[in-house]
Amino acid sequence: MAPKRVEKGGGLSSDGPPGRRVPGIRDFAYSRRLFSLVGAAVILGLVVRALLVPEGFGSDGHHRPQAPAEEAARAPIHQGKATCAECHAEQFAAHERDAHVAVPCEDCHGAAGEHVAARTAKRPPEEGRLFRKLAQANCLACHRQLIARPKLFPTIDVAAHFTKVGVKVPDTPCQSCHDPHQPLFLERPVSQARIHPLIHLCSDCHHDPTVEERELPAGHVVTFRCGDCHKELVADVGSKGHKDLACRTCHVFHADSPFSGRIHKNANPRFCLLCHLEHPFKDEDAVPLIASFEAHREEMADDDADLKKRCVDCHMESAIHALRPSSAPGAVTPTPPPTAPPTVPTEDGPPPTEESPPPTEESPPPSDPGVTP
Amino acid sequence: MSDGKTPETVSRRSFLHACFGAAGAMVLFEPGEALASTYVPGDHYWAYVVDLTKCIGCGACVRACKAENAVPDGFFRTWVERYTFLDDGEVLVDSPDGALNGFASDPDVPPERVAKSFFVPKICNHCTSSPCVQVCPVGASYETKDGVVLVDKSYCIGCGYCIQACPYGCRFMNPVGTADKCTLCLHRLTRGQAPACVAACPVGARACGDLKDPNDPVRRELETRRHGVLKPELGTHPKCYYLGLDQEVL
Repeated sequence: MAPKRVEKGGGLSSDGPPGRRVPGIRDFAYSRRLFSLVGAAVILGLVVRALLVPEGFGSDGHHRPQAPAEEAARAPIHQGKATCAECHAEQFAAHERDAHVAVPCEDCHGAAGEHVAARTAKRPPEEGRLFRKLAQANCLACHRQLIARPKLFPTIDVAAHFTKVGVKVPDTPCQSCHDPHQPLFLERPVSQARIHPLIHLCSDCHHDPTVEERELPAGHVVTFRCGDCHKELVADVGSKGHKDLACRTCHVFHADSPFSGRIHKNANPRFCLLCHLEHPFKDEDAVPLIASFEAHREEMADDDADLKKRCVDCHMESAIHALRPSSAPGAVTPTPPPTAPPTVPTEDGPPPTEESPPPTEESPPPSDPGVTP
Repeated sequence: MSDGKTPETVSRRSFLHACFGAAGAMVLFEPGEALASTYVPGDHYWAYVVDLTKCIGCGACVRACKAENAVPDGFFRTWVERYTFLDDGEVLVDSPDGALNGFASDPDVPPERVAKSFFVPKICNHCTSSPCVQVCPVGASYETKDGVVLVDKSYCIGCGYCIQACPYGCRFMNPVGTADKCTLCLHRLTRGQAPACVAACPVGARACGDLKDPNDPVRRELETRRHGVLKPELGTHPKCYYLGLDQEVL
C-alpha cells in the first residue's frame, strides 16, 4: 500500500480522508484570512486612536499638554481695589483709612469685570453698573451676632442695636447712619446724628473681656473721645474728686431723646447714693459716705429752698466738673484728618481733632459717597 | 469696497497681515497677560491654608467664586460649613445654600446648650494623591506641575467617576455635561493674583501660597504653626491645610 502523501503542509492531518486538500500549519491560504482580520483591526485601532487621542497626549503627564495653558488663559473677573482706585479715588482714600480697609471693594459692590470692560469700551454706563445694595444684609453678612463667629469680631444684634440708638423702623439700612466707606464714622455732623459719637468702649463691639487692655491695631479707625469736643469739661473733671470715673459712668448716650448726654436717672440722688451711701462693706477713705441723704440735706440746709436740692446742686462744681463750660458741644465732621494716626480710645486722651463750626439747621446732608457713577 | 480710491501703497495682503497681527497682539498682550507668559509651572507648587480661628462665615468667598468662575446655580466650587457642638456631644453641621448669602441665624438650639461653634470653609484639597485623577478613564482629570488638580473640559466624557471618587465632595457635574471643580483660580495665579476666594476674604482666613518659595508667608506659616488636613487617614495628602482644625471636622 502506497503511503499517503500529503500534498502540502505538515503531517498532522495525514489521517484525513484521501483526495481532500487539508490545510496545514504552513498553509498561508488558511491563515491569510485570520491575519488580515487581525491586521485590519490593528490598523483600524491605530487610525481610531490617532483620531481620538489628542496631539501630544502624555508628553506632559497623563493629560493633554495644552490643557493647563487653556485653563490659565481665562481673563480674571475680579479686578482688585487698585483698579477701582483709578476712577474712584475719593471713596478709595476714605475706605483706606477705615477699619474696613481689609474688605475689598468687590465684596460689597460685586465683581468689576463687566463694569471695567464697559468703561474701557466707552459703552453706556448702564451696561457695566455695579450693584449697590443699601440693605442691612450687606453689612450683616459679617456683623450679625452669631454664636459661631470669633469672639473678637465686632457683631451686633440688630434689634438690640436699634433699641440702643433709638431707631424705630426695623429695616432701616445701616447706611442711613453709617458712611458706607467709613462705616465707623457717621454720615452727618454730630449735632444731626442719631448716635452720640462718644462712641463705644472697645467691648461694645468686640466680645472679649480683655479687649480694653489691648493696643489699638494698626489700621483701626480713629475713635472719638469725650475730650475731642468737651475738652474743658474733661480737663476739669480730671482735676476733681471724680477724676477716676469714665464719662459713661454717669452720662447716658446713644438715646435719640432729650436725655442724651444727661446724667443717669436725671441726677436723682439715688444714683449718687449708689456709691456714696454708707454701707458696712464700703471704705470711707476711698469714697465719701453719708448715712442718709435726707439727714445730710437737713444738716446742710440754710432755708426751705435748700431742702429741695439734689446732690449735683451743691457738689457739681467742687467735686465733679463745672457746669456750662465755655466749650459747649461742638460738631465734629465724620471724616478724621487724613494724617491722624490711630489713637487709643481713652476718654482723656490727646488733644481733640479738628473741630468744624456747628452746622446750621438748613445745612444739606452731605452727598452720598457711595454713589457709583 | 472703495475700488480705486484705496492708496496702492497698502496691498490687501499686507493690510490683512497687519489686521491679524494687531488682533493677535491684543489677544496676547491683554492686561495681565505679560505675567502669564513668564509663568513657569515647574517653578511653583501651590498650597492653600484656611485659618478656622479667623473665619467669620460671611460667605464673601462663595460669592466671589461664583462670579469669578461662573459657577452654575446650586453648585459650589467652595462653600462654608458651620459646625455646632452641643453639650451632650452632638454635632450639628449646616451650610444654608453653601453660605452664598452668609448665615441668617444661629442654629435652632438653645444657646446655653452650645459648647463650641465655628465655621469651616471647604474647597478642593488639590490632593497630591488624588483619587479623582486616578479613576479618570480618559485622562481628563489631571494634576499640573504646579500642584493644581484640574478637569480638561474639552476632553471630559462626563462619566462621573471622579465625582464619586472624591472623598471630600468637592466635584460636581456641571449641567453642560462635564465634571467641574475648583481650579485654584489658575488663571489668576499665573498672573500673580490671589485666587478670587482668597482676595475676597475680609479677615484673611484664606491664603494661597507657593511651597517652592522659601520666603512665601504661607509656607512660613505651615512651617511654624500647628495645622491639619481633612481625612488624613485616606492617604490623599491634601494640599489644603487648616489651622485650628477640630478632629470632628470631616
